[in-house]
Amino acid sequence: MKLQGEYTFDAPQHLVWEAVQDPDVLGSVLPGGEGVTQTGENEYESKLKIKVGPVQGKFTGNIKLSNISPPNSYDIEVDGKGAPGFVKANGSLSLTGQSDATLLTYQGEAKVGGRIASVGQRLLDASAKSIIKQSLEALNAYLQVQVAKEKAAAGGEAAAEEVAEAVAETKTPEYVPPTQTELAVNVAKDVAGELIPAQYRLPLIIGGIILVLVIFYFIFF
Amino acid sequence: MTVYHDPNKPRHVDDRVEVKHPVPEGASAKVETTEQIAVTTPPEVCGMGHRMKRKEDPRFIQGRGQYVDDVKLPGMLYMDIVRSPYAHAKILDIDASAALEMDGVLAVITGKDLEAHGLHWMPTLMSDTQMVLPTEKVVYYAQEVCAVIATDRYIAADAVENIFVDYDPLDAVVDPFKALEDETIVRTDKEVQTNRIWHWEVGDQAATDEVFANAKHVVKQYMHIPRIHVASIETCGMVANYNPATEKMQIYMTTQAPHAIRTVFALVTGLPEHKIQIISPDIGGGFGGKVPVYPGYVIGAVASLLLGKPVKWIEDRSENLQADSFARDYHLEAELAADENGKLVGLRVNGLADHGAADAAANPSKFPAGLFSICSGSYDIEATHVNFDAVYTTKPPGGVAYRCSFRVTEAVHMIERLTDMMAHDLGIDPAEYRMQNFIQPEQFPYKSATGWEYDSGNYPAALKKAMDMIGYDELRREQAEKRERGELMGIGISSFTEVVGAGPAKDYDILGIKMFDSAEIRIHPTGKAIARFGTKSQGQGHETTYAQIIAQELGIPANDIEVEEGDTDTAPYGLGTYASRSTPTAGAAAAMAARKIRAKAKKIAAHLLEASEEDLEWNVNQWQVKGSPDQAKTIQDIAFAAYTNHPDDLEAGLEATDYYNPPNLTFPFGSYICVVDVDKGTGEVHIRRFVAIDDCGNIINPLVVEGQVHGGLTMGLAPAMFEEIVYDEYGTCLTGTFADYLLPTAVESPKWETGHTITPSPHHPIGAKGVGESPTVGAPPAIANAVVDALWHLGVRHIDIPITPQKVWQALRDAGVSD
Repeated sequence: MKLQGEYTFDAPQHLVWEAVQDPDVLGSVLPGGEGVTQTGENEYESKLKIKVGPVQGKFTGNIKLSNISPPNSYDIEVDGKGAPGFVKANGSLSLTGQSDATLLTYQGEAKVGGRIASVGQRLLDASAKSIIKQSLEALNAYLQVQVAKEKAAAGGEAAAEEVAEAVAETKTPEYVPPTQTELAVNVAKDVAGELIPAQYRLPLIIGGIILVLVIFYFIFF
Repeated sequence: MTVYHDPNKPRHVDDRVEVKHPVPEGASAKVETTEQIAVTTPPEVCGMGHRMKRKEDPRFIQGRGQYVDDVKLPGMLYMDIVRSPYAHAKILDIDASAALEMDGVLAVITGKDLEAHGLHWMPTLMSDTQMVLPTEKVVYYAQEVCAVIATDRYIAADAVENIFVDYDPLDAVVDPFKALEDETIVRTDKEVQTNRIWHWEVGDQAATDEVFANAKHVVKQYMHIPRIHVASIETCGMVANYNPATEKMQIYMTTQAPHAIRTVFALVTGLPEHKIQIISPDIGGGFGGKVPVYPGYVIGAVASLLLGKPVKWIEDRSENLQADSFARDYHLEAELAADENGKLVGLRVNGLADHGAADAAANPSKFPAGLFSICSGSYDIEATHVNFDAVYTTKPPGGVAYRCSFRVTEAVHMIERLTDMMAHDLGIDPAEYRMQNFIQPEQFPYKSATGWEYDSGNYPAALKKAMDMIGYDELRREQAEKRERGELMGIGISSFTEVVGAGPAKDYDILGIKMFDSAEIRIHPTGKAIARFGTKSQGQGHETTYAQIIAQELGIPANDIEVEEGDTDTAPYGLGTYASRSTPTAGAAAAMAARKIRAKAKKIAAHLLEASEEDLEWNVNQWQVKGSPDQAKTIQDIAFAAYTNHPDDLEAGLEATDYYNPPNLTFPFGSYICVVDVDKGTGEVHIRRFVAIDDCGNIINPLVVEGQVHGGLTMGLAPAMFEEIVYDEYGTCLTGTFADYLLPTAVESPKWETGHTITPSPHHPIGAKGVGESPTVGAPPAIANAVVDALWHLGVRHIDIPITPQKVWQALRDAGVSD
């Protein structure tokens, strides 16, 4: 499975670089992440709870970063194992500063095997894209808080107000990752979006609602 | 012909098969082909030829069948299995502590636990070895790694999720041709480190090469007959019930061969055979998939033995599709030669069998590639040579004879495709070309170049009937018109010869047990009867057809005969039901046992009528004095007398047993014609018509035969267009659910139009041959030939099954038709 894409963060490059290097941050933005711990220099262990279609289970992944060139790029290698199967991935990630924004581009290849590949193969691509998309969105939300904090630290009441605003937007002073349920719902939405062409989506939803109503009618009347 | 039984050595089988059968008296007599089913008993007796509704169906359609999963015993425990996510990996550690802490979990059984009892390996049907549970490494995806025993099915499933196994992945061996290179060895437990299992040759190589050297026309094609699964609706399962007080092991299990299983269990576990009872209850489809012993059966039995309680194990659908024995998976490089007149003269085959991680094929032990060597099919070919190798790969072991007689499906597909190609190359109509090259009716009994003696046949009659029924000439005219307009329509023929009823004891055994089969009939005082058999129905309708055979022979109404199978404590020993062997073996035994009873009945009748035996003649259901039919004793009168008024010099009772050793195999045949329309834009194939003419010798029950043919055709359609077990490069099975492993339903199935000709088997007591598998064997090449026929003018010579819209679309695109 090839993975590649890009994402623009509304944050300066140095903040993004800090974030993508911080195990605690990564641990919190990974959907289903249950913590990232450093196990050596540029080596980490993460625990992930993943659900692809009908397959779910816990993975333990060893992550290794190499060719690190701050604050621009690094290569990443992931070796994950768990009851539902295994994942081996390697890729590279690079950042390009664009005034107040930062463009992240990533590419890599993932090999997935075991039950997660066997049963979930049709949903694998779409699920992986969704998980990455959610991670990046979560990371961006985290970064907004950091940007605001940095401005506040730079001084001035106006800046403090901005922090308050940013905090209000995220509801709490710190970034809070999505719950398992939110994650599952989002993955399902993204997968459905990918599998059902847009022009059929509305008719299918309406059809589904009518079907449910008909069933209710027959049951209760 | 030698088969080495040392599982540590690759088996090289070099000398040729020479199959000779003792020809019974009258066997070489010419048999006539008819279309009329002979009925000689009145409807109330319902002997052979009556369209009797199946006696077993009321309980099946009312949901009152008793399957393994319906067995519920007091205090029963449940087993679930941890399976490997890797196709090939070392096992470093199994951590079951979290599972064992769960309420309701009683035990976790690992390979090490079985090793302590010497039960971590078991023999396969082909005298190879297979892991029950691994102690060192796993060799296929979804292999059993350890098992949980719990008080509840759900707890067992949850506990499986709480067992953590640490693996060190090894390279998977997925491609059988790559396996030949021995870069990664699958079976490192063997003395000789190679993936090669056996090499087998049949036929005269020099003579075949010479024929090819002089041949005017040769067609050559590589074909893959894909790995498929029987996908029976009921998965496998068991309830093992060991009673420590009686020391008896009672096992309810989904098996097609209960007696053989009992013997294997006794030999593997060391339990005395009289303390093992195998009960095979109603079975929801077997098709060959329920012949082997799977690891789960052994683990379940061990669990019951250790815990002294009943243990139930039922596979789920994915386990069944991913880990149980597969069928087919032959790679064939095949060549067919014809002389200047178009006459077929030579056949040369190089085959490679992908057996997975063990040679667990369900073949008679003398035949490592089953009955594949009957590959010259319905054609008179003077020289044939078959060269075969088998390899280990990191896939589940197999392969079973999926509704076919030991690899004859692969052989028939190959010869029917090649014959069609030759006809097209020569510009001769495929029907006409077959007519020219058939073994002619006067050539029977016919000896093939690979040593088979065909008992009887009339191939032109069956093809002629199929052509008349479908309107062949008119269809060819329509096809020509459509081709003018650019529309794609194809007509495909398959004129197959099956080979069933294994088999004569001289050549056929499984693990040394000869392939006879048995029947035991007891007539009760009131003239009703019970008949028991060594076979086991899985939907074939034995309870009806066996009763009809006995009704035919004794005149006892079929409805008055109880047929019982599957309980090893009561049934006579037999090798079970597969490979269409029940009618040729146990069906013959039923007739022979009934004839023994009739002979004794004659003595009793003579006593009752105060007549001499020589003056009596049999008439439907009674012994009567020749010339005066009113002086008669019916079988019911005689049965009563057998217990109340039997002659002093005769034993009381009226019963008989017969162990029937067939003198030869039987050779059913048929001609199928399929008409398809192909959508140029999508590559979709629509089967417009399908006519199937089968000749299975004398017909016991036309309704049952038609039912068998309908089911078999659908199971032939399946691999032709839908089914294939697919692995990715890591050996992960990608077809583990019915969402990915496609079965045809009523929606995909065309209307099957069936018919028959009748060419009796000259050596079978009732002239029957067996039919269950003919349609599965004959249908795929008819469909494949039809699709290729539709595309031949575009330059398409062959498409491997399953013929999916994607493959057809690709072929059309390559031919420059689709875009």
